[in-house]
Amino acid sequence: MKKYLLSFLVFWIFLAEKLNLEVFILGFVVSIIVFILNKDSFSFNLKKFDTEKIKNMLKYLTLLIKEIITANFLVAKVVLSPKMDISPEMIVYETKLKSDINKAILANSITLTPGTLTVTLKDNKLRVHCLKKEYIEDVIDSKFEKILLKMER
Amino acid sequence: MKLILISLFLLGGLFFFTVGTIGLIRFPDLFSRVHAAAKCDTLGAVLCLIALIIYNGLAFSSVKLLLVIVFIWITNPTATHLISNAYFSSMKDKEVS
Repeated sequence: MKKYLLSFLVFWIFLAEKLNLEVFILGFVVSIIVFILNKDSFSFNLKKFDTEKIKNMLKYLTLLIKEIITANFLVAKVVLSPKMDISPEMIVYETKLKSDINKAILANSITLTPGTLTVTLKDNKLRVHCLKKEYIEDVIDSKFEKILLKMER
Repeated sequence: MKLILISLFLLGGLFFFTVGTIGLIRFPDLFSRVHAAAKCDTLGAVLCLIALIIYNGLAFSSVKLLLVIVFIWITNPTATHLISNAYFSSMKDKEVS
């Protein structure tokens, strides 16, 4: 607990850009409140990090940025074309991921990829809405899930 | 040089905001409207913020703007998911009754 509180306080002072008694006391109070509100979220431990995991994370981040940019151009193209050729469809997709946080990351990434949108997430079933039928294949054989599966091991 | 880069990024951001708004009006149902609103606003806002980072140069405010970008990328899909989830559950309720 002390470790988290100290890191929050350092972060607060870093954002405040100066250090005096007022900033310190306010930061301390805010850190305690943030810690109490998010007690359940600190389940992962930092000791499990190794170079392999960091490499996978960087790979994931670059893939995500690339997908976001292509997604934006694709949606822009569909919106601006004179006759919109959309064929909305809802599919149910099962993930092999185990931990909740990884499932949430996958759901958010699917929302950010071109033409797909996560509607509900229950147990290990994702309900995905696709703007066009072509995008269904991208969801079923997802690049994100492969990297996340590697990270889970 | 800096001015050209800033205006390029700002114009790009504004372009994506415009596309998102047009999509919001043109698409037929809620799910496809959410597509337009969610996708275009992420890149539009991020491009505008990158322009501001270039304008600021290396300063503390640039780091804060970078944190804002991370925040947008986490919260935007979450909000989108909530909107569509609410619509989906209300649709299911209507079918049952």
